[in-house]
Amino acid sequence: MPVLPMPPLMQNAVEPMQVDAPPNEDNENNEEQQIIVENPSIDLEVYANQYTGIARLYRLIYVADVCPSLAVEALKMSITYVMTTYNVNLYQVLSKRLSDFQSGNNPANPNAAGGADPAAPLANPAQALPDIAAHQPAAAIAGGANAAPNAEKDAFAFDAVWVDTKLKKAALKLEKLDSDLKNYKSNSIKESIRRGHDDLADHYLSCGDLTNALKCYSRARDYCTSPKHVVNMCLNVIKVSIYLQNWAHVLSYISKAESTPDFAEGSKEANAQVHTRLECAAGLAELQQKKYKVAAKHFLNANFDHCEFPEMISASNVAIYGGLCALATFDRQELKRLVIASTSFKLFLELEPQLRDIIFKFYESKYASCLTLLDEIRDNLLVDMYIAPHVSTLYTKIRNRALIQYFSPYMSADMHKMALAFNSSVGDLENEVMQLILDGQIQARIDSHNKILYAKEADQRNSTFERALLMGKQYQRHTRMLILRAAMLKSQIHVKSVSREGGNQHGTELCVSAGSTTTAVQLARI
Amino acid sequence: MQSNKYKELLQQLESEELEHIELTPEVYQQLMAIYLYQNELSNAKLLWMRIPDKLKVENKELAQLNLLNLALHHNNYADFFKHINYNWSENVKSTIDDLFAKQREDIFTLTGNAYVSIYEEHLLDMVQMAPNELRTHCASLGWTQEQDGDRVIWLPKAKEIVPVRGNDDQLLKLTEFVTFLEN
Amino acid sequence: MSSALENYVNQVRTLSAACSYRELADELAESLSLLIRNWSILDNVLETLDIQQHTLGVLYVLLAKLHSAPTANPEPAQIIQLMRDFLQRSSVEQLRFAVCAFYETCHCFTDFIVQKQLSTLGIKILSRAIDQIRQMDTQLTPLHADLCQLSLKAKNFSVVLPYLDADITDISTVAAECKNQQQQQSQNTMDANNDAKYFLLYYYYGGMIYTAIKNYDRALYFFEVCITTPAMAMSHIMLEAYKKFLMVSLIVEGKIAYIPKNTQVIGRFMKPQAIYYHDLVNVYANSSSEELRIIILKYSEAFTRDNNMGLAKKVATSLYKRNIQRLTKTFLTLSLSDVASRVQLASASDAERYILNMIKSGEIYATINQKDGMVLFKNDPEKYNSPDMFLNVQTNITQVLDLVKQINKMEEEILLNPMYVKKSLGSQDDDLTSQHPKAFSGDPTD
Repeated sequence: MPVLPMPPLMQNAVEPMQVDAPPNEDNENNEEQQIIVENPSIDLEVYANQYTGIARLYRLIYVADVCPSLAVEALKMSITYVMTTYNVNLYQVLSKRLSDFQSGNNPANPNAAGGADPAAPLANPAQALPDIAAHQPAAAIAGGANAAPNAEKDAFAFDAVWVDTKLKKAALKLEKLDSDLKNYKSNSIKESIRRGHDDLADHYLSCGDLTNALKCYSRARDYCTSPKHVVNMCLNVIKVSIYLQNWAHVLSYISKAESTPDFAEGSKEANAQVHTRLECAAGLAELQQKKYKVAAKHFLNANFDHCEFPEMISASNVAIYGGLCALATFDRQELKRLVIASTSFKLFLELEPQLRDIIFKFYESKYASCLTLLDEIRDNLLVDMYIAPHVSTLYTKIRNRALIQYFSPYMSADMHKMALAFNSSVGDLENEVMQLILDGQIQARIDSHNKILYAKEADQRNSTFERALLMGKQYQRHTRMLILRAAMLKSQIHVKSVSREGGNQHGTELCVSAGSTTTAVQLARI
Repeated sequence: MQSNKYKELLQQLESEELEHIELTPEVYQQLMAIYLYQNELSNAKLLWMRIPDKLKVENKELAQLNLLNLALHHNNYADFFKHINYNWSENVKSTIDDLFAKQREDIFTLTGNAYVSIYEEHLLDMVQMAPNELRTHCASLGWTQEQDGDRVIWLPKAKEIVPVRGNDDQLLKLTEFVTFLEN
Repeated sequence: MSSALENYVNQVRTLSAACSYRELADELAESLSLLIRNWSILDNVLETLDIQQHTLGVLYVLLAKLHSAPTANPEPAQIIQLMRDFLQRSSVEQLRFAVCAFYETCHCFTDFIVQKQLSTLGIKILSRAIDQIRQMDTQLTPLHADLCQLSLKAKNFSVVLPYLDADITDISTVAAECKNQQQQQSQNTMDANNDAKYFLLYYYYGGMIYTAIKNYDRALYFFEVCITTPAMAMSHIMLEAYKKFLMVSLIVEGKIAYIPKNTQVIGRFMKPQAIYYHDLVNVYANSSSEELRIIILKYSEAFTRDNNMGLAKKVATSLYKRNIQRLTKTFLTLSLSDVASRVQLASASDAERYILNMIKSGEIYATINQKDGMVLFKNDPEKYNSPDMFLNVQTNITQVLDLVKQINKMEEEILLNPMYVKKSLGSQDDDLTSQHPKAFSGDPTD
C-alpha cells in the first residue's frame, strides 16, 4: 500500500504568505496561556454543536486548554468529532492528550471525567493549541502505540486500527482526486479543473492539512469563469485563512471578493448570505487586530436571516463580539442608533439575553448592575478562542466609558457614591479616574480630601493664550534653527570623517550641493 | 532700584577677576555676597568652584559665605538663617544685611503664598526667630493664629499683588492699536 | 640669520607704508617658518614694529612665538600682555587680509593658556578678538569655540553669555576665508577641515554652559544644533552632545519629543554608543522614580565616566517634579502623605519640601495646609489680562515679525542670486522638454 505522505500538520509548514502572521499569534498565545477559566456555565454540547468542521475542533481544543473542569469532556467530544474526518494527526494528538490527562489525574474513573478535579492543573505540556500542536505529532505517534493498551476499555482509547484504515482511505482518496485533477487538466476543461482543485482542497481540509488546502483553494483562482466562482474562491480562502489565523490575508481576500465585478448579480438570497459572511469574517479579523470599533461595525452589518456558517462563526458569536466591541467603542448616540435601535441586530441579541441586558443597563446608566452582569459572563467569554484574548481590554474600555459617561452630566460628584455605582473602593476609583484625567478623557480634578470629583471648566481664553504663546515660542525656535541651518549649508559645514581633536583626515570630500540652491529648498519648506 | 544697587560694583569686580591672577579674598567675598543677594545661585556656585583651594581653607568668612550659598541652593531656610548669624567683616557687612532683609521678606511672602496653615514651631525653625519677635512680625503682616491642642497654628494671609502700572511704552502701543482700528 | 629677519622687518615696513596689505599678507605667510626658526630673537623684531601700523607683521611674529612656545617656553604673563596689547591696538583693516592667520594665532593662544591653567585671563582677550574680527553681531567665528572653552575652564560665564545669546545667522569659516584670499598654505587647508570641528565645539560647549547655569531650553537648542549638523561620519563631539541632548531633553520636556532628522548618523553610530542613555529615557517614560533611581545607580559608572552624573541626578529630580505636576492636573486636594506615596518620595515632609520649592519657583500653584496635612492645588492664576502679559505678548509678536522679515530678506537674496536664477530657469526648461516636474525638489542634505 502506498503510504500516505504525511501531511504537514496544520501550520507545521509555514507558508510564505503567513510571514506577517506569526508575531500576532505569538502574542495571543502568550495571553491565552495565562487564562485559566474556573467556572464557565456553558453547556459544552450545545456550544460545540454550533460549529462544524475545523471550527468545532479548534474551539473544543481551546476549551480544553483554558478550562480544566471541561477539558476531558471537550477532548472526548473533539475525538468523537475528529473521527468523522480524515484528520488522523489531530486524532493522534488528542488521544494522547486525553490518555495523559486521564492517567495523570483520574485513572480509576475515566467516565466521571466531567467531574474530575477542576483544580488539577493542565499537566500536559502539549498545550495543544492548533498552532502549537503542530510540534507534537511525532511524540503523539510514538506515544500512540503505548497509549492504546493502557486505556483499553475506554471508548476513547487509541484506536490504531481506525488510524490505519483512515490513513489508507485518505491516501486513496487523495490519489483519486489527484488523478481526476490531472485528467481534467489534460482535457483543459476550466470548470472541471476548478472543481477538481476545490475537491482536493476539501479533502486536505478534512485531513487537517490547512496549508495544502489553502494552496489548492488559491489555485482554483486561475480557472474561475464567472464572478460567482471568484467570490466562492475568496470565501474558501478566507475560511482557511481564518483557521490559520492569518488575518491580513483574510482582510485582503474580503476586499478582493467585494471588488469582484457583478458582485450584486445572482440571486438576492445568495448574495445576502455572501455579504453577511464577508462582514462576519471582516469583523473577526478586525477584532483580532484590536480594531474594535471597525469590528463592531462589521458585526452590526450582519444579517440575521443569512447568518448560517457553522464552519466559521455562530450567530451568538456575532451577537457577543459585536455587542462587546460596540459597548467598548461607541458613544451614547451610536449605541442607541446602531445597536439598540437596530432591528436586525436585535435578533442577534435575542440569542444572548445576558448581553442584551448588559447593553440596555449600560444605556440606562445602571452601571453597577451592568458591570456585575459583565463579570458574570466573563468566564463564558474566556472559553471562546476569538474573544478571550481581548476580554480584559474590552472590559477596561467599557468600564472607562461608563466612568466617563457617569460623570459627564455632573459639575461635582461624590466619589463614595461613584465607587458604589462601580463596585469598587474609593481608592481604586481614584486611581482609575486619575488615569482618565491624565489621558484627557475626563475633564475634572479630584478633591482627595473630601473625596469629591469636580468638573474642570476649560477656560478657552486662557488656553488660547497659552497655546498661542507656546506656538510663537516654537515658531521662533524653529525659524532660528532654520536660519542657522541655512548659514551652515552656505558655509558648507559638515562632518566628514571622525574628527577627534585635531585628528582630521582628509576624508572623502562629500560635498553639499551649491549653497544657494539648498537654502532655497529649505526656505520653500517653511 | 534695589537690584541695581550693586550693578556697578559687580561689573568692576568681575572685570577685576578676569584680568588678574592673584586676587585678594575680599574680592571673592564681595562677589559672593552680591551674587547671593541677587539670587544668582548658579553664579555663586561657579564662583565657589573657581576660588583657589588655598583661600577656601584659609578664609573663614568665605567658607561661611559658601554655607549660605549651599543653604540657599537647597532651599534650606533654617540653615540659611542660622549661618547668616555671623560676625561679618565690614567688607561685606552691608551686602549681607541687605541679603538678610531680602531673604526674610521673601520667606514670609513665600509662606504667605504657600501655606494655608502652618505650625508655629515649623515656622520658627524656618526663619530662626525668637518666638516673640515672630509673633510681632506675623501680627504686622495681618496673620491670625489658632490653637490646635497645645500647638499654635498660624494662618498666613497671601500678599496682595500690587498691579503694575502700565508704562508709557504700553500706552503708546495701545494708542497705535486704537489709531489702527479707527482708520 | 638676523639679516633674514631684518629683511622681514623691512618688507613689513615698506609694504605697510604702501598699504599693499594683500601682497604683504601673502609674502608673510611664507616667512612664517623662518620666524619660527628664529624664535629666540623674535622679541627684538617686535621692538622694531608698531602694532597699529604693522599689524600684519606683528601678527605673524605672534603666531611664530606661539608656535615655538613648546621649545621657547616663554613667560605666560608676557604672552598674555602681548596679546592684550595687540588686540587693543591692531588695525582691523589689516587683519582682514590675514583672517586665517589671526584665527590660528588665537587658537594657539587658547591652547597655550589652557595648558598654563590661566584660562581666566584669556577670556577678555578672546572676546576682544571676536569683536574685532566678526563682521556682524550674529556672525559665528571659529574663535567662539575658544572663548567657550576658556570660559568653561575658568568657570566664568559673564563674558561669554552675550555671545551665546546672539542667534547666529552667518558663519565665518577658514575655508571661505582661504577662498577669498586665494591662499593655499598647508596649515590653512588643515584648519579648513577643522571648520566643522569648531562649529560643533561651539555648540557643544555652549550647551554645556547653558546647562551649567540651568538654562535648559537654550542648552537643548544648542545640543540639537550640534547633533543635527550635516554629517557623513560621526564626530565624538556629536556623540557627547547626543548623550547630553537626551538628558537635557528629559529635564525640559520629560521625553524625547523629537529625534532630529539626520537619523542615519544618529541611528547607526550614536544610538549603539549611547545605549545607557536610551535605557534611561525608556525608564523615565514609566514615571517611576524608584525605577529611575535604580537604573541611574546601575549605570552610575558610565555616567560618571562621561561626566554626566550631575545631569543624571538632575534628571531624577525632574521626574519627581514632573510627577508632582501631574498630580496638580488631576487633584484639587491631596494629603501630603498621598503625594509622597504617589511620587515615591520617602516621607510627607519630603513631599512638603518639594512642593514648597516648586511653589517658590513657580512650577506649580498650590497651598499647603499643615493642620490637615493637605495640599490644595490651584490653577495657574495667570489670566492673561495684566499689562505685563500684554507686554510679553507684544515682545513675542515683534520677535516673530522680525524673524519673518529676516526670512523674507534671505529669500529675496536667494531669488536674486544669479546661480539660483540660472538653475531654476534651467530646471524649468527641463520641465518643458522632459516633463520631469520634480527635477528640483530633491535635497541631498535633508
